[in-house]
Amino acid sequence: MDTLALLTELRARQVELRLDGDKLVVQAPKGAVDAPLAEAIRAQKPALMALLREAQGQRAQQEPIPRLGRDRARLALPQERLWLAQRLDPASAVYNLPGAWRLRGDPAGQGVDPEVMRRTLAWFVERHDLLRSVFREEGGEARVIFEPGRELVFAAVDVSGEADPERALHAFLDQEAARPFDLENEPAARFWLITVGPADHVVYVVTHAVIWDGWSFDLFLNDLSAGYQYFAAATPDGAGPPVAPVPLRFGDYAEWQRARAETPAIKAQLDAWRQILRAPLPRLELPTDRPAAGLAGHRGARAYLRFPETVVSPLAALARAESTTLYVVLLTAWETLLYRYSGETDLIVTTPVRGRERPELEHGVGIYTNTLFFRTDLAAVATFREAIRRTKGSVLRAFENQDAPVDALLGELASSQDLGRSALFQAMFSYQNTNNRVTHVGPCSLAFVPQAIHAVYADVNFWVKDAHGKLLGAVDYRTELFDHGTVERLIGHLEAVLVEAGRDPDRSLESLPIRLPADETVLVGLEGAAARRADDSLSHAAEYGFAHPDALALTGDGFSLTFRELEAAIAARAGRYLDAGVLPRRPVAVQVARTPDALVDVFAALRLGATAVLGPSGGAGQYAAPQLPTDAALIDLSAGSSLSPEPVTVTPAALRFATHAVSERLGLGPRDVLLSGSRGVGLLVECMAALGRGATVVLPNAAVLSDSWELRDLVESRPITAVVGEYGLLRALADEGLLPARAVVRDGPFEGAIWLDGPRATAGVLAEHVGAGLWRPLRGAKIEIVDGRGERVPVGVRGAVRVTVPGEKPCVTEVRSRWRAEHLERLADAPGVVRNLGVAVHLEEVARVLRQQAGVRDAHVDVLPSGPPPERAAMGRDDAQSAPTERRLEVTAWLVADDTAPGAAALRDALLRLLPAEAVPAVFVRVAELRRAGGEVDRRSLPNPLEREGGGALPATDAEQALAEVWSGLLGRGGLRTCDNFFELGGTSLLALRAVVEVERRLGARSDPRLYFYQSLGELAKALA
Amino acid sequence: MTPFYFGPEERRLFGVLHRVPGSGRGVVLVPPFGQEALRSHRTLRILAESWARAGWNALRFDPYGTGDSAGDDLDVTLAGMASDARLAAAELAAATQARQLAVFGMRLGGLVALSAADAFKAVVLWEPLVDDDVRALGNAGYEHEGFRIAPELRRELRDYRLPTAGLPKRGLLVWNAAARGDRVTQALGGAVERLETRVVPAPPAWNEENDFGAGPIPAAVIDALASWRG
Amino acid sequence: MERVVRFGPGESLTGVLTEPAEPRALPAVLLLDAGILHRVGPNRMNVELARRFAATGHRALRFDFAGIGDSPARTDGLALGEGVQRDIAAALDLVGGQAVVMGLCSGADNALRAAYRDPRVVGAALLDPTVFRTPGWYARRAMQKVTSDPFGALKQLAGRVRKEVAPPEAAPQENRPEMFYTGFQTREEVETHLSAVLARGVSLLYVFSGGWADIFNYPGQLQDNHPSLDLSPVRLHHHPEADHTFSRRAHREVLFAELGSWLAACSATAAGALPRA
Repeated sequence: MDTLALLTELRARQVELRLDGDKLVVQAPKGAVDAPLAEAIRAQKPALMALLREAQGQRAQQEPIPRLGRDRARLALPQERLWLAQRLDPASAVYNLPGAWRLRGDPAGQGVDPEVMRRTLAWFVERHDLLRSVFREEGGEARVIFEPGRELVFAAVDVSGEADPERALHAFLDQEAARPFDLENEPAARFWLITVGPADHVVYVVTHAVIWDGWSFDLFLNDLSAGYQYFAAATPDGAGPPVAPVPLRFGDYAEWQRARAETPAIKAQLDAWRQILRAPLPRLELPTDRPAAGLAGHRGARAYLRFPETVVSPLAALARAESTTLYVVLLTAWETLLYRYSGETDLIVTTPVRGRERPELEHGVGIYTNTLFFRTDLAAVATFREAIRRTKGSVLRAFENQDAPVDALLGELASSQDLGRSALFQAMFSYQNTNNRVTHVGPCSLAFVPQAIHAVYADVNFWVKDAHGKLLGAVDYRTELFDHGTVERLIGHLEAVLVEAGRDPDRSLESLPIRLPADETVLVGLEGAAARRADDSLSHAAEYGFAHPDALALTGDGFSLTFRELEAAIAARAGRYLDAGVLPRRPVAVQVARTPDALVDVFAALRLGATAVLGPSGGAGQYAAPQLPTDAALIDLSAGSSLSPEPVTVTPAALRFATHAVSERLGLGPRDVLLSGSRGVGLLVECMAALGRGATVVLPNAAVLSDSWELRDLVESRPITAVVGEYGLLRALADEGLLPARAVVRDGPFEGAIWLDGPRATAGVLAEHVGAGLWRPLRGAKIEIVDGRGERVPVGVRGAVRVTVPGEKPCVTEVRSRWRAEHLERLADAPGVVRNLGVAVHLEEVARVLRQQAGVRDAHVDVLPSGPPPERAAMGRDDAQSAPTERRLEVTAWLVADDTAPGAAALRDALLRLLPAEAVPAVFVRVAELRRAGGEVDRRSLPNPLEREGGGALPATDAEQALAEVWSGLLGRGGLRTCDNFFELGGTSLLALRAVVEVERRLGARSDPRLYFYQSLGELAKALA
Repeated sequence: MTPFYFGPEERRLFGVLHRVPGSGRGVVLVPPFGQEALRSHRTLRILAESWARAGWNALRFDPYGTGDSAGDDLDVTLAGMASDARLAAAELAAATQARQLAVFGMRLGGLVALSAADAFKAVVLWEPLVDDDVRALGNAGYEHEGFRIAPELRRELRDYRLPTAGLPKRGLLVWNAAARGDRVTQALGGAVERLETRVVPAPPAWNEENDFGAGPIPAAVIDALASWRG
Repeated sequence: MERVVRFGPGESLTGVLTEPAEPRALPAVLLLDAGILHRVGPNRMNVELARRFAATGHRALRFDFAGIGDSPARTDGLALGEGVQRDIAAALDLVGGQAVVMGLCSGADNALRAAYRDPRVVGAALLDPTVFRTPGWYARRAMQKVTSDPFGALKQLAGRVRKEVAPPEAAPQENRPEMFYTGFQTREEVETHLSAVLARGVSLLYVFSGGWADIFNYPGQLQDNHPSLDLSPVRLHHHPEADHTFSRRAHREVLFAELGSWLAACSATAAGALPRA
């Protein structure tokens, strides 16, 4: 590998090189330098030494960091961010950093001496100024204030007497880790020595990220070990423990860092970062178990991983072949997995770097880490190998600019929509060295105590450390987003990527097989015997009719048929068909209508096995049409729209399945009354589903269906227990408070999940909503989630739904979904696409068409919320996590137009000629300008035409309540709100004068009665207060 | 609340739309005539807002020749106002999801509402002018309370007959006092299948209150109207 | 050409802007609300005036103050009079350049205040603004009583009964609608405004109606109200036959003609008076 790559790798592994005369000294954490690396160093030794000499020369020219010795200093840039975060949420402990180590001595002999420990810790606290500092705001700026009078915060705790000392220990550790710091009034470091048993102790420190970074823990252990040894000696010799001095106060570094940020070299690096992190920043869609909501939390957990040598060595070889390091190859694999999960090719992975290059900074506690970002573009990458090369570039770019305090930029980069959850901190990667060289403190052995909860600062953080050819590590993850099982599966997928890439790095990223055996079992919908059962609803209806001849089958405006009557009519019609020569598998034309006659026609045809052709013009008899498929049960020529111009064809299998599906979904039984609001094939399916279970079907005619008041009258006179229909029908019922609990919208997939899709009507898929936006497929259908190549995707990853109904070919739908355990999760559509009544509306497309209209200079199109969908409204639920429903949306357009632009009606007409009706905006709002930031319109700057005036709050203050009391008495009405106006409520000028006097008696202050005309209760109250 | 102009170029009408997203109900408000319209402007605004709060999309408008619409007082006729109300219905349906449309009219606006009711699914009237008042207006002379009455309008008023056919199935009729509109109630009750009648005493919004030029707000009537379920 | 405009803070003020077919460099006309009537004006006069003025080349804006008509209530907590002036200023911003303000009753008082506060106002037409009774007013009122009811008047004069007409300040407050106006309250206030406006060369037109007879009943009363001011540049018309809102068509036609003629004169003066921009 070349020198630069080698240096990168060395830096990544925290290996330090020094010149000692003409010898090259390598200082590295244990295990960091493996054989290949050592070989590389040897090979490059001359080049390395030359570089070092140069650097040394440069360093000699470098100014030392000025020692200011101030008690008050500004914060370092990363400190400011953390301090602000803590101030915003003072009760939060997410930035607490706990560290616990077990100190075990010889059980019969000595353990830790608490007094020596105390003195050691006191000395430690004295050494590092941040441990005696507080943070305050002074004059609008944050300051770190060193208070030399502060003392060590230390307590000795004894849990050995508890029933379960181990449990008590961990409870104590967790409890203290969760206790927040008051940074204004206390230093952010607390220490304990916990006695667990004889010669069995735990030394515990809890600090805060604002003063402590990962490497500070190493320093702590170093100091602990050296210090304990010194203070344990009977007579300390006065020289102090043999550790390197800490020459600087942290504030000196902070000032120096800030000053350096102004130098041209650093400014150039910051500009480079601005370029690297330019908008738009990509958002990764990870297979989370819960949606991200609100501010990102920091509670996390850890899932360990272990990759054996068989996995690692091919990758190491690959790295060598590509003149790069294992670090880069691992990063590439991580990026590949993220890409496969999310489909995003523009990837940002963040990594922390140590930041302590200067010798003065090596021994002090503080936060020096810098955060770097690798931004890699994997678009059109043909192979894994090529991906490695791209990643190499991102890594180099990042390390070239590693001196710049990137924290300073993070405020600039946060987008307005992204207040609590940054796209920059979703995925993290690091090559870690918990290079703890300390093994003993005094006579005791030292061992890390793992704790259950970790603080994490990214959604997923993949870190590894080298362990003699193996890789050990973990994926730390946000527990608010992921379950442990999901992350374990993620690790499995990651391993699959590593194995496959190592085996054949010239495969494309998409073709790397990452699915695990565990992913297979849940991908197919439960298949049951029910699918294969011949479910002929009409036969069942006939059977029911024998048993209950007088039960009501069909009813509507002016007609009522019992089951017996219905059966008789079907038999009679079938007889007439036979007489007319209608044969099985031959077409029969029938009319589409919501009348018993039309239904009987179809049922008779089906009974005979003929193909019922539903056409707009009717007439029983033979129908000669050469192109019609002969294996269909139904062909609906009247259906067909701009979306699917072909007629809908339904095979017997699909018809049986769909009918069964509807009955199951609605749970229909003999006592049910179903209101059927559909047309065409849907109407038939619903009727058959109901009749087949002995339920009654209510068939309102078209006039009633289109008038919600008529509908109300109908339903009030004949209560229904279930309804299937289009959104408008359900909405109308919900408005009148008459929507039954079992209601299914026939508008799109998963909405209650009945749909007949595409020209061949092959998919009668059924799923049951189990809550929280999850659906469980019911019997019979095979459902898969596939990627763009038709391959099944792993559990949790998004893809398109592919449906297979028994006897039919698989059909890929436009619905996007993913598996969560054995449920399907309905997903929101792609950004910029909404579904209005099942029709996909591409908002930018509509805007583009608008911009083409005369006089329109700019346009932005979006949808405004239009209230909860009917089912939820009816059931009084507002389940925020329910699946987004197919409903009619308020498509709204904001226009910048001059006077020559046509008015709203004309614009609507023009657009109707170019776009589907569902995409045409209902509302046009004229604005002076459309403010854009980063290519996106700032939604908050757009006026909302739907905001209602009034509303107002209930009277709360004394003045408001006094006014409300007086007005209520004079006007004889209650329920007053702060937005109400006296005259609008029915008051007169005389009453106003009386009100003024009455209010004065209560409050001692007098309003100008003229104001009663113009102002609201709230405003008058404000003036009186 | 969106004020806007609508209608064809030769008959530009001014209206104010109160939208309720997601609601399928809508109401067009027809104002009374002449000076009464000026006095009851506040009432109609508050009524529209109350309806909106109750979930009805509401469009109040100025008929041609009145308010901010084009034309002048000599252009006002009953037939013209009815045609404007139908235009308003179409506009309301186009701009919202409202398909269950009702028409509201008070005083002379009530008669206009009845004339245009074929375009609606319900008609809502508050104190519509009854026979004597209609005839009186027709005989009022060239000018009435600051506005001229065109000969055509005069003729329409003198010849006015309450419609008995072509009315929607539903309606609400609100009177100030029980005896006021007995004949009208009876006549309409025949023509409107489900006519609800209510007596709600309230001050007349179309008369002047204390020389202000504006009328009082009939809060009780507004409550009754806005809470009607259609 | 009329269109709806929404302007001012939060774009909440509602108005209708009437524009001429061809724009000309003439002052715009702002037609203010009268009392609590909305922007169409008493007897719809603002609509007619706006259209007439547009026909002669002026842009005309009729709009509602916050809380009146279709403008939502104020949310900035300003006191009434101040709020109205703020709204007028926003209207002046909207039309841009010079403007003439017109109003009736409280609208007239607001017009005078606006002329006082804003140099963009080059003319103000005041219909029945606040004036105060003078001895001349009492004299003429007494004369009228004598000529219309001689016996009653003599009885009163002879008897000196306490039921002598009391000065307006003592009338029961409940029946004084002026209390609810945003109009002027004192003669001094009016004088301050008037003198400043005159000094600036703003064209003024006063029109008084018979409906105002309760406080104004002879043309010279205005000058008598302000003896120290030279009101000769002020144009004044008195129409005792008309009511406060000029309800009769014929009366309105006369009023419109007077307004139109004054507007033309005012525009000419304003154009001539200002330096070239």
